[in-house]
Amino acid sequence: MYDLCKEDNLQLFTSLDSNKDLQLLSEFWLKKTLFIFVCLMPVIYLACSASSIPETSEQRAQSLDKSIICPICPGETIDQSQVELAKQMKNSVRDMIEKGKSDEEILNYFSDRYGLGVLAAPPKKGFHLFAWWTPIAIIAIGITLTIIAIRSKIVQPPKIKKIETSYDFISSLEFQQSLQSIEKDTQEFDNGIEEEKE
Amino acid sequence: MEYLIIGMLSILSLLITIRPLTHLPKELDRTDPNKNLFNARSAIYQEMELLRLDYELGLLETGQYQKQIHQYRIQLASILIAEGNT
Amino acid sequence: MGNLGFMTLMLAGVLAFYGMITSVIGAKINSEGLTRSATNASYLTSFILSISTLCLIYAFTTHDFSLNYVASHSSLNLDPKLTWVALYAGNEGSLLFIAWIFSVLATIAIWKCPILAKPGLPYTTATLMFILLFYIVVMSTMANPFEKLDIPPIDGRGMNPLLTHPGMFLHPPMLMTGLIGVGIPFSFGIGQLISGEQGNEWLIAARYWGLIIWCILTIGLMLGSWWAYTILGWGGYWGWDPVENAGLLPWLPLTAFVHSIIVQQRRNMFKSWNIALIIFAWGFAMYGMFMNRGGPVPSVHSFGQSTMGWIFLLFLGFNLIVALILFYINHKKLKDNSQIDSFLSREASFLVNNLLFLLIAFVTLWGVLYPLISDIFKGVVVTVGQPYYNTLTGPIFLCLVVLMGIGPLMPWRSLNNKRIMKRFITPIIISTVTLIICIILGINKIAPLISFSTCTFVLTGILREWITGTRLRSKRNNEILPIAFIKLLLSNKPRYGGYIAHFGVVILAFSVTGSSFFSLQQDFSLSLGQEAELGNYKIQYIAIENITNADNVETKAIVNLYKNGSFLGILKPGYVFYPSFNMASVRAGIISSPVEDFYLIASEFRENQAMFRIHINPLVFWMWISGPIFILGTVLALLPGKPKYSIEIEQLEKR
Repeated sequence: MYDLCKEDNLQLFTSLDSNKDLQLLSEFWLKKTLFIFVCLMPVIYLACSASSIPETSEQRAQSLDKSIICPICPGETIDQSQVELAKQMKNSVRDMIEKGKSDEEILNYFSDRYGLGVLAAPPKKGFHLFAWWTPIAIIAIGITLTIIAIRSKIVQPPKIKKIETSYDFISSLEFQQSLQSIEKDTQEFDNGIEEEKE
Repeated sequence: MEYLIIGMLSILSLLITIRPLTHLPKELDRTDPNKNLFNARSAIYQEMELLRLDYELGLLETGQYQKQIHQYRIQLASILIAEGNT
Repeated sequence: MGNLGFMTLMLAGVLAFYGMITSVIGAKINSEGLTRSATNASYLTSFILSISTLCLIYAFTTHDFSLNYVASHSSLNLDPKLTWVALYAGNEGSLLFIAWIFSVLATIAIWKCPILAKPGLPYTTATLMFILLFYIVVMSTMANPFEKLDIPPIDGRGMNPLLTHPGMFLHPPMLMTGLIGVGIPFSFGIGQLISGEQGNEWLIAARYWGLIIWCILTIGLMLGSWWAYTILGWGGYWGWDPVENAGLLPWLPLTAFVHSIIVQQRRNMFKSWNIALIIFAWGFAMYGMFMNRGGPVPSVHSFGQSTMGWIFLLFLGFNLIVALILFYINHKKLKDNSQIDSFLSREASFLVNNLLFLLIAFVTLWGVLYPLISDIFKGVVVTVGQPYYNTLTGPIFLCLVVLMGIGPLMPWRSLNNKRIMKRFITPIIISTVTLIICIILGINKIAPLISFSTCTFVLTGILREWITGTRLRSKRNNEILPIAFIKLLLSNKPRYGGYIAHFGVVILAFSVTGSSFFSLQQDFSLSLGQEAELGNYKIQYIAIENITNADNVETKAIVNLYKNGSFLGILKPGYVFYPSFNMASVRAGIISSPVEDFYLIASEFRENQAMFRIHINPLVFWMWISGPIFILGTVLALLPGKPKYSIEIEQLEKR
């Protein structure tokens, strides 16, 4: 694969890259888009959790069933489990929905009875907020560190390193002649270059 | 029967493991220098083709493309000289 | 043959020990004889362990119940085909399988070691043999597959009925191979750290083995999902079970690794990242081994109650500490030769890629460990299950799909060019159109909207490059389009293999979105002759079927299925009860179509009544399609490519 890291060292071409203004302008617009996207991320995040709001009461019940673990089965929710206790619990869920209880009240009812282990995910209060917010904090820290790391590398201009491979024979006549003959042979690669002047 | 098998396996293992300590095979230099040069040249041509395709697909800037083509040409010139010398 | 089995195990252990020690000594005193001797010893371990494995298989086929393992996992009436499954059905046998497979992989890795990595090979060999030795020692001391019973029983216990499903022929071996296989690129990394000068010597080996093991691990995980879907009977394919997570955890840094390697190849950067990623992957892989063998959390997966877990934890700790020390000592050699020029560059995309995968890994690890933390600090046992993981990892996976679309469109170094920006236009247009179409079709939840439109974004990017490239080639070389397309794919196998794999990811994402957000589920209690409806489907409970077989009793409901009024087929959901294990295994009735799966479970059979649960799972069909696509992409990426010429060029210039 072609190695693009050595091109710093070749000063043999005047740059045909787009001029600085275009570069800054396009960077500005794309950075704006990226910024908006990044700001949308918490919205996306909230939307993803909110989008599991069920439509009907049966769907709501099913969603609750999937959030409650059967106390006597290893790792199965009452939705999955077939035992008698699970069925009774499912019926309780539906009763409570009919009585107009909120999701939180229903989950509290079960955790009061059977302990917090009966919930399929840690409750979002008290010590257990730690469970939810630590990953989010780590995500935020990770993103921040990455941005800082990239910026610090960009702000310092790349050091122009000395050419490692020896091009001593660039000045030799033999080499110049060979190079000319190669350039003639591979002329097709110079066609089709698009001018990029703004 | 089982002990016989394990005995044979152990002896075989010992022999195979000890052998390099007593008998080093000679490294035969089988590479044909001209073949290397030919391979190198065709590899560079393929890379140039790929580079051109990438440029036409919009993956590269013009300046990058030209710099890299120049790199390849220098390498081809080196091979030309090396071929002249062998 | 039990004695032979055990003795060959010992012999392999001796060879592994010799290989490990001699390799290092040979490298230190620069003795080629010693290193070759060590290499030969390493090759021999695979041969000898193959004999051990054959001994165990032979014991199964001859029903040698004097061996505890054979007695525990087979019986006289065991279907001969299942002998293969019996081999790894239990703890001891699976350890033997792992050791055997690892020795074979190690032999291939050493034999086919690329030239550049040869200086580090003695240390790579030593690491490989060290890992192998660990498994052999564990087997010899605490988990002997050839352990004898004083009084051999007349008949064995038989095999766990859950393992008789066809998926079990492949899922456990592939997953185990994938997990232990991470040790191969890891060992090359160790070799690199100790003996490398520029940080690049291990690249070729790392890329090959990284990709191969990635593919095996991916297929292993997908087979597990397929097995869970079709056999466990809860209508889902991934439960965030602690043991499932243990398989996912190494997959995440490994996927980041095979991507990040590209940056090191092209731009000589991310050298430290890559070493770190492979260390993570290996650490998680061994953590996975620990979870399967006596981890702290019970699950449907564990090999029963076993207290061996702690030794795997120690091994994990030792490996990590040594690797990190080596990393610290040698990190100066891993200095990047170039740097990131801009946020809008492919390098930056890869960096974000690494970050996102590691974040998902962290969240998963946190979820797995949190019950312990809660227990230690608060004395309260909580469960961390699906709702937690879905909420926290879902958005990150979505970001990864977005990145998968943007990344390949990004140029190297920096995006400051109108020409290159044009590449984004078509995908953006098409994905916006998709978004509008989805909204019109009535999809009103944000997550699937974003997911479907980003899937089309990625797809458009891939197809656009394929189409444009094919047209350019066919014009230039006068080839007809299909030939030009194939030649295009073959012209740059790593890249197009990668695109094919991304194509597979898009299909997977499409499938996961459909089944996660648009599934329907309902329970019905039906008496014979009664009907029930859900969505466009109607079922009619026709009859009960009871079949008594040699070792099980099948109870099935015969159900007629109608879609939109017309007859679709007969389903036979029910369960199979195994008296000797006192265990029942659910058999779901599934009719699958590209649009959706109709999934029926029957339970609680009373005289005339039964409980039915209907799942309608959209798009699950596509998940199983993505598996072969991943294999195709990996195979293409790994096919032999252009002859490697860069070494010769350097030699030329030095003349």
